[in-house]
Amino acid sequence: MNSFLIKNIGDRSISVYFENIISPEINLNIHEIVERINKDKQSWLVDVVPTYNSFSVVFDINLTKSQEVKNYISEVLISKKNQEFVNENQTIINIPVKYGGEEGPDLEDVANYCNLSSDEIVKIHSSTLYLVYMTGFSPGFPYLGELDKRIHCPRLKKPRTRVSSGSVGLAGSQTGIYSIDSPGGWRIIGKTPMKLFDLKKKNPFPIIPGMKVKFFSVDLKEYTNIEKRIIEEKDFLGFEINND
Amino acid sequence: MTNNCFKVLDGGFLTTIQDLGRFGFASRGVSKSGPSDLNSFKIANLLLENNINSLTLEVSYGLAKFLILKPITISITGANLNPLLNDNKIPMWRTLNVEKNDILSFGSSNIGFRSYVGVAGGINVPLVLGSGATHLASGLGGFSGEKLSKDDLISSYPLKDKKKMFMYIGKKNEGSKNIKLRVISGPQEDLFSSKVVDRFYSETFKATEKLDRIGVTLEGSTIPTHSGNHDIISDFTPEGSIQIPGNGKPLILLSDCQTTGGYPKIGVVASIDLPKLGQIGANDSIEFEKITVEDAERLYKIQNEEVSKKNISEIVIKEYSIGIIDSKYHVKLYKNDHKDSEDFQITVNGKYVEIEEVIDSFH
Repeated sequence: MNSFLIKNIGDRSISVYFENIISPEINLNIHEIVERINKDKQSWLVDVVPTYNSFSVVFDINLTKSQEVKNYISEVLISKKNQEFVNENQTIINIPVKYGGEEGPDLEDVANYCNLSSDEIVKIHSSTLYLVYMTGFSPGFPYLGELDKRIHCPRLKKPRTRVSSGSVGLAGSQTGIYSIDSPGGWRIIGKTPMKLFDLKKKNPFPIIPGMKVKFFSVDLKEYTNIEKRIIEEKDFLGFEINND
Repeated sequence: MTNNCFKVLDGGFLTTIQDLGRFGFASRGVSKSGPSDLNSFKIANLLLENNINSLTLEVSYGLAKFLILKPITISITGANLNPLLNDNKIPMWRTLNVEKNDILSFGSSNIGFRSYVGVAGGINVPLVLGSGATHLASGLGGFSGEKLSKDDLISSYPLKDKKKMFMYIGKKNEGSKNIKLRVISGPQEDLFSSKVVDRFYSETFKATEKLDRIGVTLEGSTIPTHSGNHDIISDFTPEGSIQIPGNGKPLILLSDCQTTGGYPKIGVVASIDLPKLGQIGANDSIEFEKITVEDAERLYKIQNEEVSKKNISEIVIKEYSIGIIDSKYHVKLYKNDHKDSEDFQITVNGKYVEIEEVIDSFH
């Protein structure tokens, strides 16, 4: 069990911080605790928000107090020491991506920056199994890691005013997928037809923190076919699931 | 019968539809949104005997204009953005009956920033993830996820009974040129030297024009971290977070803020003062005062009692016919039935008049 600090974030949320690094072990530990707290369903619970190396418990200030929530969190963390919590998100989501071209306008720049060919960038990006560390920025936007060191590259100097949803981007040691049309400064190497936030589907958030994802390369024809199926088939979300 | 109650003639600077907010989806990256000034929002609904979560209009800065499409009861709370009904001044913090074809318009003000317009029964929009609150950045809720603009038709839930008239007699959050915010020390306060933290709590900052429903940027002395590095591993950012980005200028987050952020939080505004954030306008002076969580909780309880039914008082109308020389005036006095309140309004021939001086109290 890692060491941690419990802190107030205002008077209606408590955060627990683990070691100040980005690591899959720490992050997976967090998802296990978050899952446990969500299952507990305390009457005062509003939200549990996992991030890279911390999680926050948001509570109803009319129903409880900070100290009581801190006591509760301490109890959960102590019980975690004694028993293994199970991460139930063992599925791997396989995400189709059309790399380069109009869909990935920055792929060549990234290749130049990394002294690699575009094909090598695609191969490296699509061969890693990523952990969904957290969602943030916009509804359903997943922060994925760890990105292979060979394809780390800085954000754009001047962010784009509009990045279309489905765009797959790189920023430093991170990779992620734009879930809605929004401004953004990540370098866009491809695009998925998959919707990461779709209110028309039964599950608007197909990718949630703690899951694992992998990308696979598709050509424009396959991309268009998947896109069409997502619109036509109510329960088709555009990705493939592997149950390990 | 259609339930359209307003037609937007002018959306003004920024008018959105808000309820209490979208809760339970922060872990999915969905902002809470909701009213920037929670207390004024609540009172707008309490006056109308609405459900506390009913949707209201949030009028930022003013300049909005609406055509009333059917007889309804409304309430206007928050900053005094000089609301007019058919070009006549109308009182705030009470219920008002408006008629078909009336025009409700807002001026502006340099004190306070946001007004709330409650509608008896509540505004009716489809709920998205359990809430009708508008979140502009992600296009969720409200009127197609957008701010109101010309020709939008706003509908409300139908009401069976005619409402009683009420007035709010408690403490009002109308905004001020000098705002003091009580703050709980933030999770990254230790990234700043004690000298810099002392400076943060002793100096006066000024709100810049960079303000919206997401945040307010302040100017004043800079607040550097001791390492000079202002990047942290992204963590949760609730409403009221005071972030210090690399330029050292505090940025206070409001209700539309993102769920996570990568700047250190020197403090987080206590719940009691979150409503004040919604009334900050450009050039307002801002000061911070550190308090403990225990004090914040105690003060919140007291404030919550203030912003409640306890301070909603029924209006008693007294009518007079006054003849002066050849003119006849029909005068209505609207007062409340609370013995300690001196709030009242007067209409002369149906128009609200400004009261210059009270010579004798009616108590």
